[in-house]
Amino acid sequence: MTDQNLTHLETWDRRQAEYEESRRVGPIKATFDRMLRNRLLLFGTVLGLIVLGAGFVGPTISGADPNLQNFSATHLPPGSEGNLLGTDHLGRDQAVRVFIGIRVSLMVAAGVTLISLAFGLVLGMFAGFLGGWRDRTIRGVVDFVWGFPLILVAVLFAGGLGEGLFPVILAVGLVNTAAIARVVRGEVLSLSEREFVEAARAGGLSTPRIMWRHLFPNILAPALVLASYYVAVAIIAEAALSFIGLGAQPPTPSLGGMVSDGRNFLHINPWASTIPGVTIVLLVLSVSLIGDGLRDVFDPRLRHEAKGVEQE
Amino acid sequence: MKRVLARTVYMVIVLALSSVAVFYAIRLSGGDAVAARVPASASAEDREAVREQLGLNDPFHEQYFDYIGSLVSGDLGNSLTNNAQIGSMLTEHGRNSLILGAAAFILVFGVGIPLGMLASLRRNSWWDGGIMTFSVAGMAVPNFWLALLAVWLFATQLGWLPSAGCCSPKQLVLPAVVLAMEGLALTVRMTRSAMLENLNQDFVRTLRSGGLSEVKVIGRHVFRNALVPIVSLAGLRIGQIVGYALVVETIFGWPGLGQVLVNAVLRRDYPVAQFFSLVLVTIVLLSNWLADVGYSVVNPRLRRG
Amino acid sequence: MVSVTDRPVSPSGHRTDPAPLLSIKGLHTSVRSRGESFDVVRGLSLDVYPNEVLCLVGESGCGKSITALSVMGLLPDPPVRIREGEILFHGQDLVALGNKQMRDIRADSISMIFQDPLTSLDPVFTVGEVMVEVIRAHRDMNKSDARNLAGETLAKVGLPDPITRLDSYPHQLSGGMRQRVMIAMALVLDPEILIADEPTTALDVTVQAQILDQLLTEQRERNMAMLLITHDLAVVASIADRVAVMYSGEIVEQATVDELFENPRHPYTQGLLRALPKVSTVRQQLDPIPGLVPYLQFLPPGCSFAPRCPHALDRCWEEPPELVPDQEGRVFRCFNPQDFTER
Repeated sequence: MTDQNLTHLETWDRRQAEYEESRRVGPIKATFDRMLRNRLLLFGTVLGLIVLGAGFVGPTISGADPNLQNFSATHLPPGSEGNLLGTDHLGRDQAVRVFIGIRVSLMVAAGVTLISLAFGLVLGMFAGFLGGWRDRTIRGVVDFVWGFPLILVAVLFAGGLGEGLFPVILAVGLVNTAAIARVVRGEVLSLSEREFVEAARAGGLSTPRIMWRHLFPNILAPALVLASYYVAVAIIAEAALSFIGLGAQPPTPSLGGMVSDGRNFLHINPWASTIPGVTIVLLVLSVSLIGDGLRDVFDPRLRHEAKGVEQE
Repeated sequence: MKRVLARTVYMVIVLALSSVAVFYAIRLSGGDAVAARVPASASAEDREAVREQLGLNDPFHEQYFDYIGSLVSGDLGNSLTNNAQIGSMLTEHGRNSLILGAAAFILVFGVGIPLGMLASLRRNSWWDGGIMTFSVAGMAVPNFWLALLAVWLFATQLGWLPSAGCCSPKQLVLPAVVLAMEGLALTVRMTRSAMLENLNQDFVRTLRSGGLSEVKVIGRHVFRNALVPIVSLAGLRIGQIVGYALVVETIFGWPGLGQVLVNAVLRRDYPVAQFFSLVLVTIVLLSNWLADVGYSVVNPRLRRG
Repeated sequence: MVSVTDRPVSPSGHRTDPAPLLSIKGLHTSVRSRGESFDVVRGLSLDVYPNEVLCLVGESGCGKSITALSVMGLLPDPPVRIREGEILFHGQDLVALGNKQMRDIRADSISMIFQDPLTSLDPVFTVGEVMVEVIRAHRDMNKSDARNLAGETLAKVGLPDPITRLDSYPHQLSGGMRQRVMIAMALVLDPEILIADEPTTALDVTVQAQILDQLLTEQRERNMAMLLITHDLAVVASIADRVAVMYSGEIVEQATVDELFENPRHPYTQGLLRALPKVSTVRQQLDPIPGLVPYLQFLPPGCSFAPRCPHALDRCWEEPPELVPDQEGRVFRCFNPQDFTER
């Protein structure tokens, strides 16, 4: 090779490297870029923070009693003196009730998520990793539960245990457990075929150790993303059940129950059911946007699974 | 065929197991039923007599088989609240629910699939944007609140449609649309993404290279492939209609199975609650089974070579 | 494997041939990606003559398949589209043709088979259903006649048990059987040109030879021209009459198969041949071409092969060489051709 040719080659290599550099995006910057570009995630997070803030801080600041009735000030429109969001048919302050209602929704969501994450992870990991008849049994039960409409399960629970938030949490937790277990099982199956698990097995690691040290950390992220998705499902279910009278019982303020109270006064005070209704939509929207966004940013593969999620 | 048979056996087993579960769950509230029948001032002996009379003291399996026996003989008993015959409640309310459910089913699939196809074929257009926005809204707005909005707008404000009642075509419109909305939104999304996924498959190029028209390539081949995931989840869609019927029938005062069950649970009318729970569970299982059979039909990959 | 001597002595040299059947003239096909647009086929000209087997050779990503899809009018548009050039078939410019006319040409006059026969067949329709559909898109024929024709064609391309296979779904067939189905589907209307894009790459080695053999048999019996796209020089040696070598979107050398293998002129072709393992030599060292294929978005100012060429001159870095014939009438694109040595 001639010297001139070497010079040309060096020049070219340098220019090509510059070009590559100009097109390259680092992994951290790429994630950050994706988060920023993902306006929906940003929007969802901001919206979520506002609604959450209202739920947690709101009642503490106002300190008012959500059940204080005032028959001289019923059906006040929003923006009234002393009642920011107006009052309902018993003259109770809507703002305070909405704040507490958000809190109730979130408590239910938290309970459901805890139950479904814990049991879903355990069941899914056992089924996927152990295989054989254990897998078939778990899968049979899980598929059966998953095929059931949430509301019907909740009504059955209410039929057995009576009305209230507890059966609602159990019922929604049960169905969501099945949903999470299905996805976790699938993840475990695909991970089990990957080299690092094979290597761990070949290295003579015990089954619990492989599951804990190698599978669990890899499954936690997708499971959390998925769980965030199911928070929305839980919120809607609680609201719907409280609406038909099987969820939160009066006088506990719940968003679904408030919509129900307000529906008899649609013609005189549409605000009474509109405000809690909009709150539910905002809550659901922000939670699903966050779930969607997290999925896009951290685990594009889950897009596919999410088709399964969208069932409920 | 083998698969269909296996699914049928599975369905029967699951149906048997869930009838035990439902029976047991509702029986747990049997104590409440006693309370509902006797005045609060009644003595312990009186309560015990009622328990005995209701058969609540027999061993569980005897109670269960007695109950199944009475189901088979058609002696379904009476409601605790209005003494109506449960058998005639089933025919009357079942018919009403069938009308509402069928209307929602047609909306979910008959409207959802074409809309999804339109969105996928006019991808990134004004149509696509509009349809997908509608679909997102359909999933984020809880149906009970949608019901209230619809009543407020179309009944209270515009006066076009009645706000409740059964069973004229005009009265059917609002409950059917509300009941279908979420399933419709999901079907639109699924159809769109399944169509887009299959439009990018290699076989589409092969068919085009065979000189087939776009109508055939997309309308026949891509569509048939896109149908596979849609049908595989059709059972869930139908189950969802059953579940939401509990809420929607209650809101619109549509006297169907869902409304009966919710009222029975609220009033602790446990013979009614028990029977209609079983009915709805059976409907869900049957629809899952039907969707499974349909899946075997649309997906030849399940057939052996 | 088909041996070299089996090759028909059909018109093979480009100098004495009749008019070309298909003539690609100055084809530029461009891709739009991440906001920039660039050519993946850069001014390609190529003639396909009646009855010949022309091989288009090159590494993956050099634009072979895009060239074939440009001819078929099957580019995924957007993002890929023909920017410039003509594709003449019987004197008609395919680029300017409307959808309907282009559809009539596909499968009837120009057919194509693809690399992966599993993903290339519609999974939810039977072999027979699709073949009948293809036949009836072009011929006024009732369903049972079309089905008979499909069955006959399947039998001809060597599919065992062709009549029962008409009712098979692709997943019920083996890889080799699927590829035979693809071939039958492409040949059922007796096209004048068959374009085969890596038809054996996805198959087992033993099946590869059978499929190639079948393709060659069909090409001879039907007197059709075949444009075979491959990266495998062993396939080229066993089947081609003429060869065109592509590098980063353009043809760098074109010759008859004997000329090309005896005395390749372009350093890229030479490199490809040196990189080929020889069965005769025991334990030899392979000789890969150094460096990487350049980005099509960012090509060197001169010859696109210069960065990998051991004989590059200053001139090669400054201006792109033209495709010019030498005294023997072969064409290649090089300022500084060297005689070919094995090592």
